[in-house]
Amino acid sequence: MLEKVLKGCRKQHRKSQKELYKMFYGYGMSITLRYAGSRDEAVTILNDAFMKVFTNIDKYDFDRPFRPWLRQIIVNTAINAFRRHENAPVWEELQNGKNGLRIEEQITGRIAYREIIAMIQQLTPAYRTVFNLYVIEGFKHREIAVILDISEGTSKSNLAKAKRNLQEMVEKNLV
Amino acid sequence: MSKLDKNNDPLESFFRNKLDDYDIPYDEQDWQMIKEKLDLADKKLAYGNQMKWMTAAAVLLFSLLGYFIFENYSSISRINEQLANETELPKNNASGKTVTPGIKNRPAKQNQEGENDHLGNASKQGDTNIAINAANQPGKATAYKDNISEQAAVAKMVDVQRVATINCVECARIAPDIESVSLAYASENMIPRVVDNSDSRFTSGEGSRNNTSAAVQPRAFSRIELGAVFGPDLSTAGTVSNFENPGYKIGLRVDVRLNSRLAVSTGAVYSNVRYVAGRGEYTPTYEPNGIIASETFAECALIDIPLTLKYDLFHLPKSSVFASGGLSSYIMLNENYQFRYQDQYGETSREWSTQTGTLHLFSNANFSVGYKRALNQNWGIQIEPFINVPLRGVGVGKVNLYSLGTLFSFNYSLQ
Repeated sequence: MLEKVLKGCRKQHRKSQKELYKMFYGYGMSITLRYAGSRDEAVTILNDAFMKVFTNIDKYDFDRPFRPWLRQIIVNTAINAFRRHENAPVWEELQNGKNGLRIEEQITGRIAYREIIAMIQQLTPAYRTVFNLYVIEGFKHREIAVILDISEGTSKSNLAKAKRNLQEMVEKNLV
Repeated sequence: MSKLDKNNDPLESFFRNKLDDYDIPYDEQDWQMIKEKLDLADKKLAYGNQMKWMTAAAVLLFSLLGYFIFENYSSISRINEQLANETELPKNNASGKTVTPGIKNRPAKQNQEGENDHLGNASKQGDTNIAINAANQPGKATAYKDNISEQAAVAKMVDVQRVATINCVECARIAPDIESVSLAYASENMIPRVVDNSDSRFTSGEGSRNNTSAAVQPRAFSRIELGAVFGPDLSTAGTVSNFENPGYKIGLRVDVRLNSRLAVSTGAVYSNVRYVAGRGEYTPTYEPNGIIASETFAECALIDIPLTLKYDLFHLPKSSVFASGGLSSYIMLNENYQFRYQDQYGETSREWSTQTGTLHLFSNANFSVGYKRALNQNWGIQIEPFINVPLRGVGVGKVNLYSLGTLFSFNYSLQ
């Protein structure tokens, strides 16, 4: 089924592209929500990643599993988004009502997952990105330093601060 | 930290486990956003292919045109060489009669006055004015004709660029020493024509001696021509459609002529460019909270520095039609943008401007055709519809900028 959809994507069939998007929407959002500061930003990163998938689908090797290839593209897109926005000014008036998950997910989704995402999104972009790369993706500090163009010391420091902040949020949540 | 240490950290394990346990429902609205981008990308690809075919067709057309013109030029050169080999310098023979190049002297023959020619026209030697004189430089021939017969009238044809060998019965009657006449042309610039004395640009002092004389003169062209250009500019981003309000162009141009048909042109043209870029046609430097502007309205000031080759397709008595193609470099002066955002809360807009002064070298290709007319010896006017197509993005937003318009110019030729 997946192979058929991927072959359709190679021919730029819109129906196949939509099918692939639907198949990996949840998986992709679970990654981008961790890197983004809001749901809308997460959707933007996910869509940018899928644009790269559709554009470079010819480079995908059918003998290899698709999910890790997709994951790599999504993570790289999220890191590029972080690099672009790390010095950007924040327009306060455009933030109103756009943070966090939507109402339906608050009610019907798993509370624990939603709260975890909300906690991670409360971190600053630098702490959040290092936390994701180290804890979830499994990169070493040396590798993170190269990816984000920071020093190894900064990577370790950011991770420590991120964990401290998350610890405080978890304890506050349990109270 | 080793993998074991990672696994032992309770906080990390807690988050790792929880984040694996996701359940995010699909949202059709999110698909619609990416579908717009995909549709735009397909449109760009189609236009890109279209431009490639058009460029290929234009290159083929110019190549064919160049080939035919070169063939024509080669034929003329061959004929000129043949004529140069056949003609001789003029010299007086023993009888004092002028022997002219290409003119074969007939054996002396009694000329009878009052005898009619083959057309029945009375002719007197005194009335005739036919003589073929060799000019000072070899290869040139100046023909003075009056009361010529049908055959001799060949030499009156404008832009005759071929050897005309005239077996002139009339000539034999009028000038008995002349059996045949060859009109020789030394170079491509030597164009025999019936001179209109009011057009001083294309006549020389010799030619004006006789109103009916045909003078072979080199076509006059000035080496350097200056032009003041102005005109409207319609610009758009991404595709050749969806134009905003027109801007304008104003500037100076210099043409350096390489030969009678080919010139190199450059200059500096101040351009006020206005366009609308849709989502995806403008690459923002940042997206506040992941929101992309649905439309970007731009008004930019830039200096367009073209470098083009101009080729004269047709030469007319006081005008010419030309085609040109080349590359343009842009220097961005001011960039003013208005970003419009659409979301479930309505529409908001933000303005932003910058002065970057960035140079985009050979960022656009330009093509044009034009008509140029001389007003007098030095001044002339010109009209030139053009199109600029992007080779790469320009400005802060890396926009693929298309421009259409027409340039009007006043030209001054430096003699």
